Amino acid sequence: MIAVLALWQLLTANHVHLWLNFTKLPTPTEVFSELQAQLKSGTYYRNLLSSMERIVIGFELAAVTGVLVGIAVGRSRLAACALRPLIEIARPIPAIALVPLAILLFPSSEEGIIFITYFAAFFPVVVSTIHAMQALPTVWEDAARTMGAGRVSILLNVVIPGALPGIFAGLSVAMGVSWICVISAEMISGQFGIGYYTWQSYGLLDYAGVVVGMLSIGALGFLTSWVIERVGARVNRWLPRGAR
Amino acid sequence: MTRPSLTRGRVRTGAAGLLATSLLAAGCTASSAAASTVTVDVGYQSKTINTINAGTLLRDRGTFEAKLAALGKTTGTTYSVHWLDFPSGPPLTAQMLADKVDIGSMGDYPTLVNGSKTAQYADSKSELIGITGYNLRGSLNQIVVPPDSPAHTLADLRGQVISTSIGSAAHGMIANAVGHVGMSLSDVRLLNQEPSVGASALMNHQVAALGQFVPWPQLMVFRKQGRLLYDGGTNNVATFHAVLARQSYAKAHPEVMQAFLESVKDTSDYINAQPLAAAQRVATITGIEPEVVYLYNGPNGLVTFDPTIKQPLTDAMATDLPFLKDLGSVTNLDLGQFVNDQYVRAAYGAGYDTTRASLTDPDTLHGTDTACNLPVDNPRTASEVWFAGQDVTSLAASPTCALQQIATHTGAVRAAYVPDTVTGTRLFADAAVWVLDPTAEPASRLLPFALDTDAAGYVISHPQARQMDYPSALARFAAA
Repeated sequence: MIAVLALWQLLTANHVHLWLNFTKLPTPTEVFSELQAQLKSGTYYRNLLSSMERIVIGFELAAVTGVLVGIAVGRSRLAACALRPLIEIARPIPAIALVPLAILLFPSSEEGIIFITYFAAFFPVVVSTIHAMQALPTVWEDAARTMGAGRVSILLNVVIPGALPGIFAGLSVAMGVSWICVISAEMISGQFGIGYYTWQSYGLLDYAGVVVGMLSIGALGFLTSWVIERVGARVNRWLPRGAR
Repeated sequence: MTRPSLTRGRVRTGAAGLLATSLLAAGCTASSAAASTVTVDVGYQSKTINTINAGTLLRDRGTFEAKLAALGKTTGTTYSVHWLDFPSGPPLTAQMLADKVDIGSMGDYPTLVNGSKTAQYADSKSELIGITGYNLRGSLNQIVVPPDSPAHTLADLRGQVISTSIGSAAHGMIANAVGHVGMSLSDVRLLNQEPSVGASALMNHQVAALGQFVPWPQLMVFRKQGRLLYDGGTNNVATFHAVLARQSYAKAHPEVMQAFLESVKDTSDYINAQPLAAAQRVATITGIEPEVVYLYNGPNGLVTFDPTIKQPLTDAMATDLPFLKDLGSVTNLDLGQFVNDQYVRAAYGAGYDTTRASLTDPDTLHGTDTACNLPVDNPRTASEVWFAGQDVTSLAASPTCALQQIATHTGAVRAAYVPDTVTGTRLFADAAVWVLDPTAEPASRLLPFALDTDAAGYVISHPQARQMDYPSALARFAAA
């Protein structure tokens, strides 16, 4: 970390121009003073909170519906036939391409941005859930069935716990993707939010502000991924395979 | 084609130069192997129709390339022009900061930001070398609301969201405008959006108003998706678009600067001589409706195309600076150093000072109104009707005469343009609020207003007058 900072300071403060041009990038000191100014302003926290709120709502909706749809598709042939083609067609669409429609579709840009975050996070969750269910050893299910377990009981006690490590892997990916999309959506149609702040700084050609925005996004993304990892580790600790 | 990444100078020799030379200057032999190639990167905003004479139309007509080719014949240099399109000024400035654009055109506020941001670096320091078009009162920036909005004055927007592009001329106009009605910027909520995004946000009522630059406000009005709430002309601060160049490049290639400004001048002359044809061509290229382009760029239009650097425009920059300093996007800018009229002066020759001093629109409505039998010469009343299927517009001495022509014409009307009764700002007749004043002269009984508050004010001071909409105003003639 310190080495990267030192290199950055060295390259920018000495206006190095060796193919890559560092002459006009802000120095770490400039970024730091911009960050200090931001930390003292109320709008900075409001921006952080707005982005976090959008991530939390969008991601939670995606996690819940994604896991449910994934389980349905993984367990039921009917659901698989009905939903799989829809999922596969919608999945390659970059969520950010939905911005123009989202602006028209939702009553406010807030819901639009949450929808885009949700859309982005939904597919990694569904797909990893489906794959986690298909990867379960069939002997587990057979064993439970010979002991007289019903469909619901197998689902709750064998399939879901068994699939959890895979589901959490999907959630982790989904969190990363949803950050990318919430930021891009804010840049285009946001009102508050750290992506909005970053883009506005660019509009004013305030490059120190742009870097502060980027670093804030990095820190928030790191924080949320860490939370997912912790929760995942905790949930999976009770599983024989998850402890690893 | 991208520029060579390692060469910082613009002059390339060798095989590429030979190839380009032999392609462009047909008939050249091996002697041209010694010739060099000069690359010019020109940034422009295709949809900002205030800069078409330094962008969209200039590129389309190839004037600049032709002048450079003629120049190259005498000097043996080959010029290669690259055009780069941008949605607004700030990204263009970002590219100029990175030395990737040599000449660029943008609005007044982004121009000042450009000057201030680039001033810190010797290689990308910019200077203002010319103007594309201007409006002395500031009517190029306007605030529109949805047609059914309850807001009728700017004060009605207190606490509401206004979509604008932060740091643009429109943002500056809003800052001035709120001051005019006794509010401050903190009384409204500004939302930073690209104009096209703001337009869709307004259509869906996600924002209460849209404060933007040309051509967006009147585009919304023409499409019946917006109603004018505030005309930037009320602020009475000149607004314009400027041509900027990187000083280091300009010093190395003064002949390119002069050729560019000569081309801008030629294109401006063409627009002023053939406004309807120019508007239709721009409409074809940009996808903006020709009726909207012609509202701005036509005779007596909101934009006056003239590359000379006029005193009121330099004064306006001095007026604009404090706002940008407050915003934090301009630290300091020495306008005396920033403005360099050397190239535009050379492009105009002896006539420069005369043209620069003139503040009259070279493109005005002149002629005779055959229907009303009156001369068309007063820009405060001269109107124009563009009937469907016609290559020329029909002149009208007054808005009333224009309505009479429309009412008696069999066939469709593409657009009718009338000047606002209070300010003279050119409007779409069907978007205006009309007032019938029976006490006035027959040819000026029907008066168009851009703002319904102005119309209401007229009715209060003229008790016999009454307000009506466009169809009712037209119906007066159908009945008569």
